[in-house]
Amino acid sequence: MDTDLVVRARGGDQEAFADLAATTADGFLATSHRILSDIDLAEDATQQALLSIWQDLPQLREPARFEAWSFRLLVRACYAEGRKTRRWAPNIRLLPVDEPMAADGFSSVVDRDQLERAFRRLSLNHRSVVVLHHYLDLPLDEVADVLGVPVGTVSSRLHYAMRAMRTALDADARPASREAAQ
Amino acid sequence: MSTDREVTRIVRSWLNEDRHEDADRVLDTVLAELETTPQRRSWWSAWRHPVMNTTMRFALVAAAIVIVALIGYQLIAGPNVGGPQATPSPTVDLTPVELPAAGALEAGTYFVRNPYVDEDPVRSCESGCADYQRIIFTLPDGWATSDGFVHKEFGKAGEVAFSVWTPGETYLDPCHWQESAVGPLGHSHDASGAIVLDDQFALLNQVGRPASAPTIVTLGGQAAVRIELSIPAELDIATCDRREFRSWSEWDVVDFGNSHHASGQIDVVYVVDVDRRPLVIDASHMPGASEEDLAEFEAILASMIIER
Repeated sequence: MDTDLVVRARGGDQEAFADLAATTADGFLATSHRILSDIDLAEDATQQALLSIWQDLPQLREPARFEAWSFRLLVRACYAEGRKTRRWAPNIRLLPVDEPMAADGFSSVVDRDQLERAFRRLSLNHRSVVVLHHYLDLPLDEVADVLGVPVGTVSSRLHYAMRAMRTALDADARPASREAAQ
Repeated sequence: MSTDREVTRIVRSWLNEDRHEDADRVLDTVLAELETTPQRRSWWSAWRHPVMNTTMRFALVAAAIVIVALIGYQLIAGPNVGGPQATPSPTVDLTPVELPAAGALEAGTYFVRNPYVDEDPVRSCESGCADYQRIIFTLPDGWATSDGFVHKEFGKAGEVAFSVWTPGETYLDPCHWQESAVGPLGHSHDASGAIVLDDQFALLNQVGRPASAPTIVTLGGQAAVRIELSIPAELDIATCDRREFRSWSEWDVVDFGNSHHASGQIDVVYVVDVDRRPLVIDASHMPGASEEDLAEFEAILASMIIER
């Protein structure tokens, strides 16, 4: 992270902020998409987060902390978008198809949908922890810093989320009968 | 049945799949709105002044002490009508000394360090702590310290005491805390960074513990949320888990928290708005505390400086 850009943007330099936003926007969108599981909501959250960063950058005393601080604003924007709209994925049970196993060991079509369903069942709090830790590779203490909660809380949320994913995947792995979309 | 490792691998692989997100449209929208979106200037950037040197800081503390002493003298001694002149208060040495671990304290200015800011990188603030260096305060005669508390009449019906915490988790049931759900102690902020008093504040919701409405005050030069909590006089703390009424755990310390509580105790809790984790100052007293001691207590709190 170029702290000089942060300092200049903090002082009102729009060009510096444009450069800063350009380096973060794709990552923000990818992160928020994974948290919200909805590209439209993710775009709105990313837009709100970037604008909040511009508005509140003067509040950031330590430019070196920009990354954690900005992700906190992004997660907050995700929560706000998640509260606005509750969309339910259609409850479609996919029929197992005979597809060759991918190198990482799961069938691409069926398991991806199972994962999506399992993930959507998690609260935003739990999804955020999973995404920050398993997608952004942040260690737990940095996840705690971003979310503003104790490390113990992060640990328990992650444990709960992964256990819930495992339970959902195991349940879906049991043979399914042919069913129409519900 | 999947193993934990398999699930982790699957989830990580799924999360890291390329989903072809393109933020160009979002970026264009944001940049187009910059012209009409003003930045919120912070009070610390707008108020550009040279950092106070030590001499200036203690001059201000001295002035505060003189003012507080004058007010206290008027409250305690009353107007001196017709009698001998009152003996002037002894001069207070303003050079702060580190609070000792235990013992009686002479009148003077003391400081406590942030216990998480030290040479050990594992316990340093890089791994997360409340963002402050020291808390400086001035005491009159008659106070003492032990077990992390600064107090008078410790353990007695008239006790007044304060302590400093970096809380980890707030127990929603402080009596049955071992199996209690935990809640956030830090307050929320709005987009401008101002404190938002909302019902997520865990101290408002502790089981069996009446709480006042929170207010935003200034303590030690920092914004803080002030909330007054009481412990019912009829509560038998011996029936609580491990005979402790525990408000919150101390961050990053195993099996330790604020358990200095007695039935009937009143805690005025200041959740100070610093970066990273909340800094909490718990100013407690028992119902039997004297008006004089409570006035001294208020003066001590008024003398505080929280160094960032």
